[in-house]
Amino acid sequence: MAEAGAVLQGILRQGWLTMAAFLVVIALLGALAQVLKLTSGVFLGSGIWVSQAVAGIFGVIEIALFGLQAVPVIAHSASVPANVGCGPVIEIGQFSAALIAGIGSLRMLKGIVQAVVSASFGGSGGVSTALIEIAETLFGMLLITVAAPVGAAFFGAC
Amino acid sequence: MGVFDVVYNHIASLSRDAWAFMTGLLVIVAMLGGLYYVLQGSAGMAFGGSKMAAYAIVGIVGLVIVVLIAFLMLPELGDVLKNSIPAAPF
Repeated sequence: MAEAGAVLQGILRQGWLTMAAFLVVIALLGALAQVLKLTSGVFLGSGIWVSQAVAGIFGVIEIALFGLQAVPVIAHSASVPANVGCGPVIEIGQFSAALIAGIGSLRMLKGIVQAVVSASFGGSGGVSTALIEIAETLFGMLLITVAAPVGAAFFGAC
Repeated sequence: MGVFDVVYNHIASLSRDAWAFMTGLLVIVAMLGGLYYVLQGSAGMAFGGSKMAAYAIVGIVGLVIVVLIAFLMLPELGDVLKNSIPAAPF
């Protein structure tokens, strides 16, 4: 089971790198779209478009930077300890802990990608949804930290 | 990126096309804007409208500065983001 966990973790790490690279690409394309809006605003003399576009450019870059810097720290702090359970359960506990950390991290990064896409179009609803999703994932990861030892004790494994 | 290499290469290829398209569009919009301001400036100079002419000059300079800043700033921001990609936290 440890080998299976290592293989799955490897795939999840590759997925993390791919999604992070995708986040950078989307952030840059979104910033370019806002620059296009800014230039059109200058062309047409629309001050509102110019200010919205400037805010959009900074918003996209800041959300992307927040995602790349903060999500690893959050995910690391909410990760389940690898020695959950005891006896025969400990191997399952380690396997689950590895998967929970990986899937939770990827879900949070996916939320950031959604937020960047939304900010690229000048929307704010997508940013709120993404933050809610990050909070949900974090809550779930922390709940497991409490629930897993309690469950192991309840089933008499410890 | 291992198993996701193929997927990422496809996305990167599409993104490069999108980048080229948007930069081309940006140059077109900027040039049209410049042409508009040149027309405004010429008209202003033709009948002695100095305010119109001044606004036109300011507009052209502003457009050029905005586009130049964007073309110089965005690649640098891209490098900053690329260098900020962290290792997987698990």
